Parts: sequence; C-alpha cells; structure tokens
Amino acid sequence: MWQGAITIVAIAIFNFCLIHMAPGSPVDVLAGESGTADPAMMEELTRRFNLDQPFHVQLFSYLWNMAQLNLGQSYRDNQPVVTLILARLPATLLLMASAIGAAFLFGLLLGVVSARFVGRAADEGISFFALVSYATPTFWSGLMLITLFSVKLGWLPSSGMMTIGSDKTGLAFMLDVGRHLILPTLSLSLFYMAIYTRLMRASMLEVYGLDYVRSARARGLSEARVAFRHVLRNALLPMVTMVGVQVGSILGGSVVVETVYGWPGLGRLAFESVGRRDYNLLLAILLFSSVMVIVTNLVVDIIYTLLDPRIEHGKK
Amino acid sequence: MGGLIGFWRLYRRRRMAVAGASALLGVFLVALLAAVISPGDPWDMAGRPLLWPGQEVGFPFGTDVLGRDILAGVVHGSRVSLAIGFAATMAALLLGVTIGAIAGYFGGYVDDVLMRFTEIVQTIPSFLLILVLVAIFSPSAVNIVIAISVSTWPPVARLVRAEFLSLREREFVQACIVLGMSRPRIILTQVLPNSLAPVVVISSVMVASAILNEASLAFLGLGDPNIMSWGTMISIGRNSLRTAWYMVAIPGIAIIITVMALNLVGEGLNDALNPRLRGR
Amino acid sequence: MAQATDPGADGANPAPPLLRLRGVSVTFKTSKGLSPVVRGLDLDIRAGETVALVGESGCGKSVTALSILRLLPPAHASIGGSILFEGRDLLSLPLKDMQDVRGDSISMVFQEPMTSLNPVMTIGEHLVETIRQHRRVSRAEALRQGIELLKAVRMPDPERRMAEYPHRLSGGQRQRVMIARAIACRPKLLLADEPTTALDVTVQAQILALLRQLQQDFGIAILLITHDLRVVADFADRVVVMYAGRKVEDTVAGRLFGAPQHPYTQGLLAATPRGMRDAAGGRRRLREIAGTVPDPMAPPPGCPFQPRCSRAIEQCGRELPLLGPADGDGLVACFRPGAAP
Repeated sequence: MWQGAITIVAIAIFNFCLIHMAPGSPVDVLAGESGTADPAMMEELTRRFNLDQPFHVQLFSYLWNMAQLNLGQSYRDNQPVVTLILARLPATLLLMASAIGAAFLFGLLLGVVSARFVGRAADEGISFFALVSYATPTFWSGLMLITLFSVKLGWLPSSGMMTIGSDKTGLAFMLDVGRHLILPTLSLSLFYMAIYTRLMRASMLEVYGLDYVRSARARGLSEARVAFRHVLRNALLPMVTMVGVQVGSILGGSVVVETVYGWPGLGRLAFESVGRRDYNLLLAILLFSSVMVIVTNLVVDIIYTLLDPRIEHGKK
Repeated sequence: MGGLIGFWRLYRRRRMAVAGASALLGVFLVALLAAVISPGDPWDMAGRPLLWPGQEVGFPFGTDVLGRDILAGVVHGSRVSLAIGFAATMAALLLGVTIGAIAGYFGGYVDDVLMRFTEIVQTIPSFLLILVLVAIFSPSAVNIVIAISVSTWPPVARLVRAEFLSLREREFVQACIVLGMSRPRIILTQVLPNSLAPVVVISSVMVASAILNEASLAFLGLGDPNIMSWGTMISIGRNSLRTAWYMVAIPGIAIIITVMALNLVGEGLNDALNPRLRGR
Repeated sequence: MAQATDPGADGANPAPPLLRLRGVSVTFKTSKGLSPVVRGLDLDIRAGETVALVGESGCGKSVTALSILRLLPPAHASIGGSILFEGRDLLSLPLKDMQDVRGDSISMVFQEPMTSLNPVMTIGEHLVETIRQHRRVSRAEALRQGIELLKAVRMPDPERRMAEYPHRLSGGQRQRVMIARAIACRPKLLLADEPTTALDVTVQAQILALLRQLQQDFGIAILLITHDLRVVADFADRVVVMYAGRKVEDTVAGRLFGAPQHPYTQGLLAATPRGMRDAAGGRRRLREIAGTVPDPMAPPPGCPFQPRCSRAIEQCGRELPLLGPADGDGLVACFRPGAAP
C-alpha cells in the first residue's frame, strides 16, 4: 500500500514538472487551453494552485489539490477533469475486463492444447498463430477486423458502444453493448492472447516434468485428472502474475483500440485531449491510469495468495 | 573460433530464428536500397489515385487517395521503422545499462533508490507515457526516440542490475578490487562485458516493440509529419477503409514481417546465449 | 524373514512369484540415437519379500522401477520383455487397467519428498484423492481413512496435518505422507526408489524402521532401490546388484555381505563407509571403484565391468559373462567370481 502511495505521489510530481515544461504558462495548461480561457477562471486557478508563489509552494499546492482529487479544469465544456475521467471510466473498465478475460481464457486453452500435443501439428499451428499475433499492431488488426466483419460481411458494428438513437433497455441493451464489444475485445486481446498462450504452454510443459505429476500418475490417476488437478492449477500461477505485469500495457493499447472503434472510454479521451492540446486532461489520465495499474496489481496479489498456499507464510 | 562455431550451431538449431534473421536482412536491404528501388519522394503524386494492387503496371502495391505510390511508401517506411526502432533501443539501453550498472555495482542505499525509481517508471503505462511526452514536446523523430527510450528502459536496468549483483561477488572482480583497480575501470572493463548477453537478447525484442510504438503513434497522428512511416500510411488509408482496404493492409503486413523477424532473432539469440539452455 | 531358497531356481518354491520380470529391456530414444539403459533383466519378487536393487546411479535401477508401473514417457523410452504381476503381463495391459494397478496393488515412493507433493493441495487432499481413485468410499470415509494412515506412519497430530499444505512439513514428514499415500490401498508391492537418500541420517533410520514395520503389519512386498549398501544390510531379504543395465549378482542378503562373489559387488562394499565388516570381522578401508560407468551407447566389448576390474583376464574383454550359479547360494555374472584376492 505504501509503495503504491509513493508511486502515485512521484507520478504527480512528474506531471507537475511536465506542466511547467509544456509550451505556454502553467496556468494556461491547467486551464486546459493555451491562452483563450476566460480571465476570471485563470485568476481562480492561479489562486487555487498558488501559481504566483515560489516553485516549492506551487508543487505543494499542486499535490494538495491532487490529494483532494482536484485535477484542474478541462477545456471541454469547461468541466472538472475528474468528472470527465469518471464519466469515461466504465467503458474502459468494461473493455479492459473483457479483453483481459478473453486473452486469459483463449491463451489458457491454446496453451493447454499446445502443451498436450507438443511437437505435433496442433502445437506448430498454435505456435505460429501466437507468433503472428504477437507481431501484429493492435490498430491494424482492428482495421482489418472492421473490413472483414463490418464492411464485407456486415455482421458486427464497426464503431461506438451502442446503437445510436435506440432506446433499448435490460437484456436487449446488454446484448447491443455486447455486439459492439466483440471486435474491440478481439483486437485488444490478440496480442496478449499470444503472450498467455506461450506462457501457458511453457508453464504446462514445465509442470508436466515435475515430480508430483509423476507421483500422481504412479497412484493411478487418469491423464485428464492429472492434467486438471495437478498440472493446470500450478501452471496457472505464472499466468496470474502476468496479468498484473501486462495491465499497464493493455491500458496503453486501449488508447489505440478505442480510437479505432470510437469506443467512449479513457483511451479515446486521451486521444481527444491530444488533438485539443488539453494537456491537463492528458496528464490526469496518465496519473489515473497509473492508479489503475497499482490497484490491479493489488487485486492480482490477493488472487495469487488465494491460489498459492505458500505465499501467506512469506515462503515462496 | 570454436566458440563462434558452437554459437552458430546452437543458433541454427532454431530454423525459425534463421528465417527471422533472413527476413530481417531483407528488410535491411530494402531500407538500404530504398533510393534505388523507388527513386524520388514517397510523398509525390506518382500516378492515378486509388489504383488497386496489380491494376496498373509500375504500381504493384497500388496508389493511395492522392496518387502516391504505396510501394515507395513501404520501401521508404522501412528506413523510418528501423531507424527509430534501433535509435530508441540504443537510447533505452544506454539509460537502462547505466542505471542498472550503478544500482547493481554499488548496491545498498543507491540500489534501493534507483530500483524504487525504476519500479515507479514501470508502473506508468508505457504507451500512455510516450503519448504524453510526444504530445507535449511536439512530434519530431528525435522526440519520438527520446519518448520511447524514456518509457522502456526499466526492464534493461533490472536485468543489468541482477547480472551486476551476481558478478561483483565473483573471484575475478574481487581480484581486481584487491589489485587496486579503479571502480569505473572495473565496471567498464570487467563486469559490463560479462553482463551483456541478456541485454543483447532483450534488445532485439525492444527494437520490435519500439517499431510497434512508433507505428501506433503515427497511426494516432503523432508521427513526425515530415517522414513517411508505415503507421502514417495506415493512418492515411484508414479514411478510405471501406473502399480501399489494401492501403491499410499492405503497410501493416510490412510491420508484421519486420516485428516477427526481430522477435524470432531474439528467441534465437536467447537459445544461443542463455547458458541455462545450453546443451539441451 | 530371510528365505533360504535359491532365488534363481524356479522349481524350488511352488508358489509363483508376485512379480516376475523376464528379459526386460528399456531403451531411451535420445537425440544422438538409441540408448539401452536396461538389458535383458530377469527379476522375481515373492509376496511379502524385500528385494534390494543396488548399483551406482545410471545403472538402470530406477528405470526398472518406473518401467514396472509404465511411468516412462512412451515417446522417449521403449520397454521390451515381459513384466508379469500376479500372472498378468503389465506391459500389454490397456492404459485404463494399468491405471487401476498403479497406486492400488502396486504403489511407489519416490526419492524427492520435497517435490513429490503438489504444493497447492493439502495433505488430506493428497490422501483422499488416492483412496477415492481406487475405492468407492464417501469423502468423509476417505478422510477418516486418511487420518488412520497418518497414524500408521507415526505422523504427530494427524487430524491437524490433514488440513496443512506440504510446505509446512519437514522432509521426513513429507516422506511419511508419501508412504501413507503409497500404502493407502494396501498394495501387494511397494516400489521404494531411494526413499531415504534425500533425508538426514537419523530420519533415514526412522523411515526405514517404519517401512519394515508396515511390511510386517500388512505383508507388503518391497522392491527397495538404493545405491547405499548400508540401507540394505539389515533390511532386505535378497539383494540384486545391477551394473550397466545388467544384473551381475543376485543373492541372499546375508551372503552378499559375508561373501560377495562379483568384483563389482566387492568394490561397492569397499566403497561403503562405516560399519561394514568383511568376513574376517576386520574393518575395511574405504575405497572408491576406479574408473567410470560405461556409456550405454558405446559399451566396452565383453564384460561391461572389465575396464574397471582388477581381476579381468583376456576372456573378459572378449566375451560377455552370463549369469550362472555362484559358489553357494545365488547367481553371479563373472568369469572369475569368488572372494576378493
């Protein structure tokens, strides 16, 4: 917990430095638009962030404002940055959860199949698929999927999170969102699926060679039972760790995917703020994303402790 | 010489690694001979707009909305991808090796501070950090290289630190200390050369990911506006996706081949240089 | 316990042996070619008998045990000959039937207590899993039997141990769990592959005492695989010495220590520290056997031990000595058997 807090403060200080290094005065940056914000608001910001005071006072007041979740204004509709971020958060969380889930599940399945048929055609095929997926830019697979499934086949929507103008509710609404979710999930998860496939394959092969697997066979357990009860559970442990390692990278990838699919999440907000030169919003998203990484890693640690009885006793 | 032969035998065992090395060599040749293969500026209008690949002789990959030759774009784009990929990796290696070496050699308080700093940088989603830096400091090739290297050095630092931590306890380093050699000299002449194998392995994968990062930036419109990169081409083609998807497909395949080749070379190097796997 | 019957002569004892290996050969497929690890091994184990399989590492003794349960990966090892257990050839059983034999009528204890238990399963789960694999009993009943098993292997505080994970146990305790798991279904034959090698000396003695106790209580036959003759001395009824994949001596335990016939056996005894006395009762000096075990893919001509043998004659480098009756009881494969010169 303490490490997480220190990290967040460090990133906030880094953001503060960037605000000072960015073109235009800090108050312009904090106002969200270089030079054209109204004077009353700029005065208000100068006062609240002590921008007419010495550097260290400014830094302290910036951090104090951060701690109160006061991240400044955005040019867009003149709204507080926090409001904008929180409005976009659910869409990003949905996409991330769906992409991580898909990558984990399919990576696990392909890795298990690959390990089970190691050296044979299925293994070679899966390995090649993982190799290509690992080299494919997310935005490119996104555009190609749109070409195939939206333009050519017309099966799935190419943009947005729900059908515009429809007033669906309940199950129909969820199905609608689900249909919009398929392609973004696929594009974002492909790269990570490749990582999980290779990790799971290696992990399964390693565990298959361990003594307790041989001793499970020696007690007459069927191959299926050996695979599920003894190999799979242990082989999953590195996979769980990997989710924690990859979450920051997935957040970065969501910028590109949300832009391709017009998905109304944090990543698209980041892209929009780049276009508007709304640096304050951009930096707030950076900070917020780092917080999400820290929180996810905490959750992953807890899950790991539940899966591996050796951890709670501090003996790994 | 015997060592070299042994190295080559291990390396060759992975046919895929050889395939990757050959593909990479091909991309290098294309980049080197870009001016010969497609003379002239890839930004110039060369023919009728929106020609499909194979539709007209002289434009095997077709043309884009403004009649620019896509083959010329792909050929010249290879220069951009390789140059930015290698430059960003070199810069990241310089940063990572320096920080890792200092942390690992001195240990103690210095190590604690540097490693905490490394962890903090690693917590920030790297592509977002690249995006923020490039957006704030304007998208030029140099800034892109700096932004990518600033965001991707931590794994290098951790690797080098771990190597240094184990190497500095070894007899030959201890012997140098006893002989009164200066610290910088020991680090540069004794420890560093012995810790570079894992750095070599990771560097090829880092070039691949730098190329992907540059392409993503260019796709988002944050590439250097003066150079034709594969990401830029895809970004241009995206507007005509419905009618002319080949404009997106072709540069994307170029990216995939290059990145795949680099990853395969990385795996080959790993097998050849990783002592843990030797003799398997 | 010691049986005076000639182990090699089939007609001597009317009861057929529990386990009978005939001409068993195991060949590993390596990247450099085929590597014969066990060559034409004959071995009999009678019900309730303890047979020690002795030799240096790499002589094929562990591989023999793994082949009996068919635990070698078929892609990398092929087994020839026949392995008859209660009259059935295990090598030709369908996999499903083989799985019914494993852990039920034949079970195995491995060398590595630290790594032979699944780290994410409790001790209780390990025991219940084995019991319910072979017996149609309820979970509650299996748990009850599990506690009984832990008591049988003298595990302190068995009820609490059931809920604990392997990392909380010491090496000796883990080996007790492994033994409990191995006897869970009252096997007729227990294969013990170096069961004490990884343990402290004092714990070794406890585990051996436990094995002997269980054998007497339940009448289990044991095939004890070891490189350590000290373990064999007061534990086994019969000793089979293997060298380079072949049986070189097969005799009653007492005679082996009193009058070893094969020069390799004599070398092993001489290399055994502490407590071993020769026929005259004097202490032997500790001596390593010179030379190394031959490469299975390029064995020397004639007797495989000949390059290391101080007694070798010209014939030894030309012909392979076959197993024949030794002076007194037992079998030996040597042209010049007998007491050390």
